[in-house]
Amino acid sequence: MSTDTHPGAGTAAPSALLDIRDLHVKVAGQEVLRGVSLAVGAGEVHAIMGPNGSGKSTLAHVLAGRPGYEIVSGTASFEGRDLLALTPEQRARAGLFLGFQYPVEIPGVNNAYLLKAAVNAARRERGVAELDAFEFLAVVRAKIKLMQIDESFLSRGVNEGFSGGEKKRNEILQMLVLEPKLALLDETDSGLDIDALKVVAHGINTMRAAERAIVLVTHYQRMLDYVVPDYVHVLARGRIARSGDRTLALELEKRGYDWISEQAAA
Amino acid sequence: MSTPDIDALVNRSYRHGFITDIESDTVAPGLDESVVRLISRKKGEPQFLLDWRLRALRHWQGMREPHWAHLRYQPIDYGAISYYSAPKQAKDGPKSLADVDPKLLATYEKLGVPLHERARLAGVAVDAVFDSVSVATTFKERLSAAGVIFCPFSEAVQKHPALLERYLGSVVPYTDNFYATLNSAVFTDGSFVYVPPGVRCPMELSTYFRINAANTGQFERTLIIADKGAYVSYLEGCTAPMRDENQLHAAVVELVALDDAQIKYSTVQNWYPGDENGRGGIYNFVTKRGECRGRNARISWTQVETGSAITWKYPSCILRGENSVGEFYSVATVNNYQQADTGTKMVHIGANTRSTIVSKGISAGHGQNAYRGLVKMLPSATGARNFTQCDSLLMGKNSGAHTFPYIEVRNPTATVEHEASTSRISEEQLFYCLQRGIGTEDAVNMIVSGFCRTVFKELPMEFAVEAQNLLAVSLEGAVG
Amino acid sequence: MATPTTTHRSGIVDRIMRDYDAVAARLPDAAVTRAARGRSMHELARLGWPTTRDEQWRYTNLRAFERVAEFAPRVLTPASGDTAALELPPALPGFERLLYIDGVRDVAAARAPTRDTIVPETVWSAEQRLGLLCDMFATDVASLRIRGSSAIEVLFVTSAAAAGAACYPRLQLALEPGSQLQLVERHLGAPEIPTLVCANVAIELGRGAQLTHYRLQQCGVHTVFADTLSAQLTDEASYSVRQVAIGAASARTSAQVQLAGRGAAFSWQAIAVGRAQQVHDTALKVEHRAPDTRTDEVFRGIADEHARIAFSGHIHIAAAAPGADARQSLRGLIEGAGAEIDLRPRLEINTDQVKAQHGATTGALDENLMFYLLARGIDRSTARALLKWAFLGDVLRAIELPQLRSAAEHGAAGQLPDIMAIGALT
Repeated sequence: MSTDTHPGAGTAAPSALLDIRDLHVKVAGQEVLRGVSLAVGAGEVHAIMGPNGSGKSTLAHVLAGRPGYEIVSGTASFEGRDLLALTPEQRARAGLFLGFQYPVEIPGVNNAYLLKAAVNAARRERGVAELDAFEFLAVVRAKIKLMQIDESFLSRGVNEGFSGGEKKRNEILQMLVLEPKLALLDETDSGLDIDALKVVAHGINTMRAAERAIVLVTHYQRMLDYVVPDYVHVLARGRIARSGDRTLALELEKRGYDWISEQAAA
Repeated sequence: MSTPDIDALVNRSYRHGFITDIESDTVAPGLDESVVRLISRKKGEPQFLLDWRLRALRHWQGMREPHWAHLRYQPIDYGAISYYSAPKQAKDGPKSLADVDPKLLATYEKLGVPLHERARLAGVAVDAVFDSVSVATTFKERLSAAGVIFCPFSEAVQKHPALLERYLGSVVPYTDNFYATLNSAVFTDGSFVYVPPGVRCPMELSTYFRINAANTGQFERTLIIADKGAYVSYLEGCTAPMRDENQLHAAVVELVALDDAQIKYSTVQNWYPGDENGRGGIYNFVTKRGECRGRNARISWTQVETGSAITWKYPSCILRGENSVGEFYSVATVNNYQQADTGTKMVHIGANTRSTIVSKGISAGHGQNAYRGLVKMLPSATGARNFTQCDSLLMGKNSGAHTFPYIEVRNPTATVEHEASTSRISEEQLFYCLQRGIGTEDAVNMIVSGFCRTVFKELPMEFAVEAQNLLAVSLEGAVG
Repeated sequence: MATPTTTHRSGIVDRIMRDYDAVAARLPDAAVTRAARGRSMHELARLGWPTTRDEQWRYTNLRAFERVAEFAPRVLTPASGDTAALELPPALPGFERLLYIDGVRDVAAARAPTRDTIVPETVWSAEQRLGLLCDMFATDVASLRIRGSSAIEVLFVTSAAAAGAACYPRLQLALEPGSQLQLVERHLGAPEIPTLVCANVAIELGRGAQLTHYRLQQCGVHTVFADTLSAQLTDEASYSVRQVAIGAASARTSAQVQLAGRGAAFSWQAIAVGRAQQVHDTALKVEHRAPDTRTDEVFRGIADEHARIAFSGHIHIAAAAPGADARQSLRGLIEGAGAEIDLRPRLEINTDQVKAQHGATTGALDENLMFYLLARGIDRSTARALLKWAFLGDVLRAIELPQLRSAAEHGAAGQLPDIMAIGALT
């Protein structure tokens, strides 16, 4: 496909927060991303949809710098900086947040400790004074309430023994506390019941802001009923096969992915 | 020069000769009866102690060094060791911090060791150890007001021989094992604690000890007695690495807890582990054992082992009194070419005795970490219980983690539960932390601390923090 | 001591040598060559007789072996075929039966095992040194090469003719790549006959071969029993052992399994039930030498009266075995006031890319389960019996051959009279 079929692609306004150009990525020798281009501007919410195995999670992981991916060609910049040259922690400190599809458990390390370490790592980077325990607690308490999480949760081990829903809420809580410039949320809606989905969506919506972009990676459109995207892209066979507004998501819901995959293959 | 020294010079019956010039005060290498007699005489010991030492020596001469542990090292030449050396003169050490190995100083820096402590730890010749004398005096007054005896072992020999005669060797007999027997023959000093009935020791004995720790040499002997209803918490060691010239260390620690008494013994061991290539480092062969001699007695061992090239150590509990409790909480870390074979023995004799074992082993680099533990339920141990949790964390494909539990049960109502797991710091965990902006080294420290948490919370508060820092330093460069 | 500087030849080794010298000329070369027998003798002399101070012999009733009157086998030629007096168990449907009486093949048996595959001489380690006895004295060998799919039962029976002497059952198996074998190895003996039964089993599994190995040890109560097993697994081979040990006055199993090929899988599920003065001791060592190898060990032991049940499970994972997955579950139950359970779950791990865990418990029956049954109106003794039966249940149920499972269940229940009383068996 050509790069001019989706908004923003190739136009790369200087204001673009994230600018991906013709990105090719291999995993274990297999080319999984085969020329992805995407521009995300501040204040925008994008949804990346696609069938299983289309490369959605790969894209999120590559942007966050997860090891095990081979960048074959292409570029990705973040606020004009070469994103792919940064280490994972540098990307995080620069304001890129990945909400994991499968958050890991870290036994014995409590949530509060991890969060505080993360917040202060970012503050150090920005040259801002680190938060002490009291300041930190004050910040976290408000967000915890928003996510309808019990405060005892802070003293539990990171994701240790959490249900699927609790893990996802925890991811959003971390996002709220870290206040990233760009949030990549990988299948944050999977495994959530409707009540939890509403809480998570509410959390995400409170993050919508003019200076911030959100990229939702999702298989189903139901999340998009609650977090309404400005743009919807369909990833198929490692490329963005189609872009549109939120009506595209509704169409996908009706027609499935096959027709797009077929187009992409053609 | 003290009188025993003159005696030694006059009495030239011993074979190896004794050099008593001003520069040094060290016997020639080798061990025989004359050396033991000399040590005893220099300490001005009563006859019973000399006799005991000599029995130990004779027994030791018929023993062979054990090799069952999961350890590899060059043979130790026991004939090449000098078994007595007077405390080092200050001027033997480095003249100032400028003469000290910069690596050591960098470590102190990371651990946050106060400046004046650094000099003492590094063995720098300082005229006085700052405030410690007056601080120590204050402590001493408080202890004696409570009736607690806490003094160097050699002082106890002079002042409390009856207590010593009654309890010395009553938990670790001089025949116990190769290293304990050797220690019994040649130990030079150590600590002695007696807490009288019903007394709760008014402070952690750590504080005083850490300020006042003398160079007690390579064969240390400690005896702690908590009389009926007494309580004492004792902390041995120091998070800062100690400089020591002696490669072989063979200490003995005996604890006695009578009815309703409680002893909490915490150790942080951070002796020189050798360099990145496994050269040098202390060999640490320690015998530690406590006996709950009375009903409802309780002995807890907590240890954080990060140092030494070789660690051979099994702090144990003999649970004789009914309802008595034994506990063992351990973190053992090996990096580079360090080797540790450590664990515990819980011997349940009394009815309804209980024991808990929590062992956390961390292996990085080429480090080899073995947990070795015995839980024994004798026929008399009706209703006794043990729970053991033994976890290993591996970091690196050349590291080793080994578990050798022995469970021997001879009572149908006794229960033993043992669980062991092995894990490593997964790439997923590491990436998760990195994605949150936390650097590799901090992430590793965080994960390791989480892994050790159940043990750290058994340490006295301020020490737990130091232990955590220590762990971070000892695992530097283990990942990434 | 790890480094014995002098050879320890105790009295018993001398006796073994004398017994060997007396019989050596008459032992058949076809079972083991004279030269190989001699090598085994020298190896035993070099290693010396084990003592309970040796880590791997700590719980063995060595004295029972030391009291054996005669190490030489008495029966050297094939038996007459008069098996009527032996009360053999009924045939297993679909299984070919090989019958060995007092360590020698019954000539009337259906088929003479193939001789084309004597497995190369096994070098026994110090912890398997009783295997050397069988190498020295063996009178016959069941040697089988398996192609395709087979089901074979090998019965080793001790008769009155062996009283006061020793029998040396011997089994050697080579499974061709891709072959499958269901093997039943059963040791039976008349109750009142004092003998030494010392068996060796050597197994090689070719690529992708699958072996399910049922082992029932039901020797007479005066028998001193030892079996020494060695198994080598190559790529993708799978070996499952289901072992039930209930007979003999004293028994020692020394097994070593090497997972030498990628993806090799080993499973060991065993029970031992002892009463009176019985001593059952198992030392199982598994070596993971190749990537992605798996071990699953389950042991359940019950010691009643004055019995001692010991199990040492040693799993060694080499640096060359990333992706290894090993688990052990060892449980013991003490029934008698004078009984003893000794468990040693050992893990040696030399690389970080592994999954390994073990759990070991001993103690009384689970009070929660007991309460549940009592609350349902079941009386305490019945509840106890039921729970004991449940304790052994997992392993017994893993015996997939109904007739064999029934035999194992009856054997185990026979050791536990209260289970017989509640009629848990059908």
